[in-house]
Amino acid sequence: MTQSPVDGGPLLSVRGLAMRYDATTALAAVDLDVQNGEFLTILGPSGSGKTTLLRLIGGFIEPSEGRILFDGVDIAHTAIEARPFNTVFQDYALFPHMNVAQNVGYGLMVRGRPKSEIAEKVAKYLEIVDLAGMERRHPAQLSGGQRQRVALARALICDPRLVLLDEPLAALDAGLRRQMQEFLKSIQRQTGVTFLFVTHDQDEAVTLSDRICVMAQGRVEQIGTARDIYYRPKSRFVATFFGDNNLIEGCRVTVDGACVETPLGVIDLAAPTALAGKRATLCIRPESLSPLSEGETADMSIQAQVTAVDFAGPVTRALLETDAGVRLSLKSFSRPERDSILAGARLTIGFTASATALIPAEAAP
Amino acid sequence: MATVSANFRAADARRPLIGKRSLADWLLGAVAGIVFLALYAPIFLVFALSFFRTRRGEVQWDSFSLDWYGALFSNAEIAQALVFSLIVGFSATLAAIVLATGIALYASVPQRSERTRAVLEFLVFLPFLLPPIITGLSLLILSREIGLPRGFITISIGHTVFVLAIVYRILLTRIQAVSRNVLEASRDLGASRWQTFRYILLPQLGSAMAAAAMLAFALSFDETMITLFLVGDESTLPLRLYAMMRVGFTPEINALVTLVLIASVLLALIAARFIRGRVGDIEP
Repeated sequence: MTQSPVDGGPLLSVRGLAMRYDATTALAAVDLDVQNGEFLTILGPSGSGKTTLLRLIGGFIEPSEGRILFDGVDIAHTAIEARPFNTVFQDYALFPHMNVAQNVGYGLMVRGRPKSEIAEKVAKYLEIVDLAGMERRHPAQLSGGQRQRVALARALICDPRLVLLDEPLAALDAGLRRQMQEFLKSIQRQTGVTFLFVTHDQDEAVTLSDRICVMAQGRVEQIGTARDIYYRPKSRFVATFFGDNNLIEGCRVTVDGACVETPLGVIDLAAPTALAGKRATLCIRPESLSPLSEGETADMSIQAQVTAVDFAGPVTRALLETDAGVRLSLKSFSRPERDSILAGARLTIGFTASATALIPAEAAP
Repeated sequence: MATVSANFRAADARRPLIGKRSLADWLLGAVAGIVFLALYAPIFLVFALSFFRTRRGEVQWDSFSLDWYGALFSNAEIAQALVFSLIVGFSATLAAIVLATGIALYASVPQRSERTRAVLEFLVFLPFLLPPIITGLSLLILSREIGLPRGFITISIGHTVFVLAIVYRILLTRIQAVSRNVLEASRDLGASRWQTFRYILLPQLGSAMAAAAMLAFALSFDETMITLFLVGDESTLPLRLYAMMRVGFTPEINALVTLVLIASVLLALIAARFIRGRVGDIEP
């Protein structure tokens, strides 16, 4: 059970995986590598194909096309019970007629493990999920969070190489949800088991994951760390899916790819781009724009008029319009004294080139 | 009417169609009373006559005795018929449970088309809805054609076909109520299809099976028409009863009907409890 994947290679590789139902495409040729020991989140709105991908990997459905390589072997059509993966379901799917101990021990029981071993391991895993003493309870007598932890213990007890979690926190209220996020993360660190987690919640994805795979309309939009996804979006969808973003249209990258001409001026690019010579859209986060006081300098500085201000406690949001007519939103930490961000005021704002990202321009309609 | 406020309409909707203590209320109450009287008076009469004697059409309320019950139990023919009915009932019920579970599982496979499911339902229900005389007669002709002697086997087959529908419906409803995720979770945890059936599905079907069995047994126990065509040397209780009445009405028939009635009501009550299911049986 503990053989490691080929040195440094991914634990699981999905290649060209597609799922079609009659006329609809739930998943279109997806590639994805899952590294051993990581917490990878598949993030997307409903209908993005994230659950379909999880169910294909888990073996609940068979793909129309493509391969799922595990230890170098294609398991795309392997029976569900033969895959060393276990799933935590959105509705927990606990067995209603069994008590907590029977639920948790089920995976070992069907494998014909001796009773003493089952009892020992059940006790150990109930300890891990902090449910010791609950052995005789039935699922109906547990709270949502407790059911969640039973489902997790039931999955972990089988020593899975990969745990699949299908929006397991969606049914919990906000407070419990944050608590369970902490809990999931700590369990994952403690056991070192690879977690593949599906959610539609951006904050949850950022909080939990080592890496995030953003999906939309049956395709992978981008895979990377939370920071990558946030600051280096590769598509318009990713750029706008997480929080606020300023999208500045009508830019053009020079042929040598060294700089980009934008309505805000020419920006020297910090890193090479694949968009050399192409039309592009510049993305910059509202909090990456900062008001400059007299004498301060930045990579880029622009003059703008404040059109609206919204004080929201810790942060102040402002809408700006540059002299070239570009509308920008700015977010900065609020300060107790009256600061320079006032409606109607003129501001000099600065940003660094490294805080910007380029995405392909929208195809002309 | 568009100007009527939402509040007013809500209040209006709460007003019952028929006012309490109105003339319509009294009339409907009377109709209900007459219907219940017509339904239950004969049953009560049989019940009373099994304990009391009558003289010139009047019940003698001071003549309580269990004599008729005594006579009933010393009647060997009735005892034989009762035992035969019980055996047939058990066999038909068992066969129907096994077969209906199979068909219901087949119908509940998620990929099965709605059309297939509708056809199955129709085929299972047809014998239940057809006049029993058709089922009885066709089974009779079949048994003659293939040289199967009439008796226990033919009656059991007839009853199984008859009660299959009710067992199928109850089991299918329960199977569909079992969460699909729970079955998937079992497979995901390494259980084979058989283990999933044995440890997850079957225990959740238990109470539905018990309810279906009781209803099936009750149906089989008083089935008469199909049995009439398929009976051999041994008679079932309803047929024995019918035969007894042709030679003359004896008061022990009242005792017998009372016993059958009590047993049926008990079965129905227990079955109703099981159909509702225990708390937490299905939904966690």
